Amino acid sequence: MSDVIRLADVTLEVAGRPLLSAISLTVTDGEILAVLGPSGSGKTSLVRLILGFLAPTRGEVRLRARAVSRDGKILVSPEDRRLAVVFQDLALWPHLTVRGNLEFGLKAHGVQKETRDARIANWLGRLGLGAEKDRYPGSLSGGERQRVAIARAMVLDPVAVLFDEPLASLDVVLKRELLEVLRGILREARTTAVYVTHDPREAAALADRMAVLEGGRIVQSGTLEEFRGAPATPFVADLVADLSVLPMVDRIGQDET
Amino acid sequence: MASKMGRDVSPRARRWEQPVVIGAVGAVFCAVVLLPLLAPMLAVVGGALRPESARSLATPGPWLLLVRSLLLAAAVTLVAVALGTLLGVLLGRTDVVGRRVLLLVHAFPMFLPPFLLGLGWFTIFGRQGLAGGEATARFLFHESGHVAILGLAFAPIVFTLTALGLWNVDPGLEEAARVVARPFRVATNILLPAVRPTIGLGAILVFALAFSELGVPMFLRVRVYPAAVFSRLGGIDYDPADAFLLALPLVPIAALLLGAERRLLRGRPFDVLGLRHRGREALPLGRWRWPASLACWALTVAAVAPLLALALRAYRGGGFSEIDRWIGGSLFNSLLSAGMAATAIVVLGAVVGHACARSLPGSRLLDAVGLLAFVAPAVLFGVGLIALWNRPETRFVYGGIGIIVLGYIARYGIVGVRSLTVAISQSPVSLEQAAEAFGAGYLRRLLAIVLPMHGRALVATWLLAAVFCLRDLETAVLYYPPGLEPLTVRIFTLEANGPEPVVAALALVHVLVTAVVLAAGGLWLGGRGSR
Repeated sequence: MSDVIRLADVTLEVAGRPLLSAISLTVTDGEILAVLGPSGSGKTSLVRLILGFLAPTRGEVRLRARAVSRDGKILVSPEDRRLAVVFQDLALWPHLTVRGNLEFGLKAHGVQKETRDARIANWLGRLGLGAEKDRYPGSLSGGERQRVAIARAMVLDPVAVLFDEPLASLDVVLKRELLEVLRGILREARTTAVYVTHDPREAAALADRMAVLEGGRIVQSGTLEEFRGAPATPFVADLVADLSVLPMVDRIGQDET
Repeated sequence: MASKMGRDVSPRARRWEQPVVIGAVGAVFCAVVLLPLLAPMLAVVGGALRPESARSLATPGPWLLLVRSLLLAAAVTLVAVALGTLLGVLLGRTDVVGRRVLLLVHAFPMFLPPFLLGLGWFTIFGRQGLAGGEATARFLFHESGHVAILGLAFAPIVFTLTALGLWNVDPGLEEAARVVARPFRVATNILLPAVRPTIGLGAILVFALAFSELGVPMFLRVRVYPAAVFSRLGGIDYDPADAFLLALPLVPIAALLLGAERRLLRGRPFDVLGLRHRGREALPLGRWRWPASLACWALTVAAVAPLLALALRAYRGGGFSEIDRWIGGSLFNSLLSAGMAATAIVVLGAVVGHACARSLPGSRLLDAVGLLAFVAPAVLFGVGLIALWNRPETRFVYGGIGIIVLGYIARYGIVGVRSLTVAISQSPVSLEQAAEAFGAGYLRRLLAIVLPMHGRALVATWLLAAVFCLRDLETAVLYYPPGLEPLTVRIFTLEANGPEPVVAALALVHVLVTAVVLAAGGLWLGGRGSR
C-alpha cells in the first residue's frame, strides 16, 4: 500500500519553544491512524502541520509522495492539499445552510453542478440528513451538527480526512452513536484518516493503528496488541490498562452506561 | 471573608442595592438624553410656535430638502461602506505590506471632525489650492465634493469595525474554509458574510453622522436640512420656533436608525465588536499582494494628504506664529469640557455597561436610549438642549461650560456604555458570582471586583469619550455660550473670514491634541501587560 501522509523527522518550534520533536510517521492508503495524547502533547499542532497552517521548523511533510512543506517553508498551500478536516468545535459556517456547508468546498474545487448535487445528496442521505439540507447549523441538534461536519469532510472525496478531537465535547450516548457512524463510513469509503484524540477508547474503536504523543514526541506507534505486549512508557501502559478495564473496541460505549 | 465583605450592608438592603443603583443611574441617563430629544415637541405643543411658522412644514421646500439630505447621506454611506469594507478586509486579514502602519494611519481620521479634512482638501483642490483650479473647485463645492469628502472621512469607521469584526471571527471557520478554498473565496464567501452585521452597524453609524454633519456642507455651500435648522438659530433667518418645528421630522429618522441597529443586534451578544483578537496567519494575496499593497498605500496618501496640505499652508503663511493670538481660550474650553464629560461618561458607562454585559433588567432599554442620542441628528439634539435649558431659571447651566458638558454626555454617553459593555462581557460572570456568594452586595462587587478588573478599559473608555467630545462640532456649535467655544467651533467660525494660514494652524493644533490623547491611550494600553 502506498503512503498517503508521511512526516519525516519533523520538528516544530514556535517562539523558540518545541511543540513537536523529531516526528516520523506514515499513514498508508485507506488506513485510519489514531494519534493519542494528553492535553498539551502537540496533537492539534500536528493536525495544523499536516493541513498546512504551520510549517515544520525542520523536516518534511509529504502527501502522496509530494513534498508539501519542508524546513520552515510551506510548499503547497492548505487549499491545494485536497485534505478535509473535522475540528473539535466543528466550525460549521453559520450563515450557510447544511447544503451550503457541503457545497462550499465542491464549488471551490470547481466540481460541476450535477456532480455536486449528486454527491451532496449521497452524503446527506448516508448520514441521515436529507431532511435537514435547508436548515442552518444554529437550528440543528449537537448530533446533527456533528454529522454535517463529517458529511462536509467526506463529500470532497479528499486524499485524507483529519479529525481533531471531534467527539470530545459529546455525551457518552451521542459519542457512541457517532463513533459507530464514523467507523462505518470510513471503512466503507476506505478513506485515509488521522484521528486525534485523548480518549484511548475512541482510538481503539476506530483505528487500525495508534501513535502516542507525549511532550511533542511519538513515544510508541503500532497496533493495540503491540501496545499491550510492550508499552513503551508508563503513560502508554496506563492507556492500555484503561482499555483492559473499559474495553470498547467491539462494544462501543456499553461499558460506559 | 464572608462576614467582612458583607457586614456593612444588611441582606435586605443588599437585595435592593442593585435595582436602586441601576434605576437611579438609569433615570439620570434617561433624563440627560431623552429630555433634549423630547423638548422640541414639548416646545411646539407648549405654544412656542407662532402660526406663521407652522406653515413652513406645509410647503414642499423643507420636505424636498429633507429628502435631498437623506439621499446625500445615503451616497456618503455607500462610498464609506465600499471603501471601508475593502480596506477592512485587506488590512484586517491579508498580508498587505506594512499593514500595521496602514491600520493606524487609516483609522486616525475617524477621530477628527470631517470639516478639518474638508479644509485640507480645499487647501489642495480649492481654486487657489496646491493642485487646484476651476475644475477641481467646481467638483469640490458641489454635492460630489460633499460625498467624496465625507465618504473618505467616514470610511475609517466602517474599516475599523470590519477589521475588528474579522479579528473576532472564529479562526476555525476560516481554517475550515482555507482547507478547501483560495483566500479570495474564503474572504468573500465566509469572512464577509460573518461580519455583515458589523458592516451594517458601520453603515448605520456613517449614515447618522453624515446626515448630522454641518461643518462640511456649510463650508462647501451644499444645502442640507440640518443647516436649514441651524440657520434658524442665528443670522438673518433667526427663528427658534421654526427651528423647533423643523426639528420634528428628524425624530422618526432617529427612531428608524435606532430600529435598524436593534434589528442588526437582535440575538447577538454584545461582544461582537471584538477584543478577542487571537493571533493567526494573514490570508496570503499571492500575486495580488503588491498591487493590493500599492492601492492601500495610495489610499493612505489620500488619508493624510489633507493634513499635510494644512501643515504646508500654515507653514508658508506663517500661521503657526499666529496661533497664540487667535486661539483664545478655545483649546482650554475643549479640554475642560471634554475631560469633564468623559469622566461622567465613564461613571455612567460603568454602571449601565455592566448592566448590559450581564443582561440585567432594563439594560437593553438604557442602551437603546444612549444609542438614540448618538444616531439622532445632532441638530435635533442641539435644538432640544436649547429648548430645555435656555430659560432664566437654568441660565447658570446654559450660560456656562455646563451646557457643553451636558450635551457631550448625552450625545456620546453610548461610547462609554458600549465600550465598557464589551470589556466587561469578556470577563467570566463567575468572578462576580463568587463575590456574591461571599456576601458582597452589588455596589461592593462593582467597586471591588468589576471596576478594578477593568482598569485598562476604564482608562481607554475615558480617552475614547474625550476624543469624541473633542471632535464634536455639530452639537456644540448650536448652543455654545459666548467666549466658551471649543476649538472645533473656533476653527469653524474663523474659517469663513479668518486668515487661511491661521485656520490651517489651528486645525493642526486640533489634530495634534487628538493624536496626543490617542497616543497616550495607546501607550497606556500597550504598557500595562496583559491585564
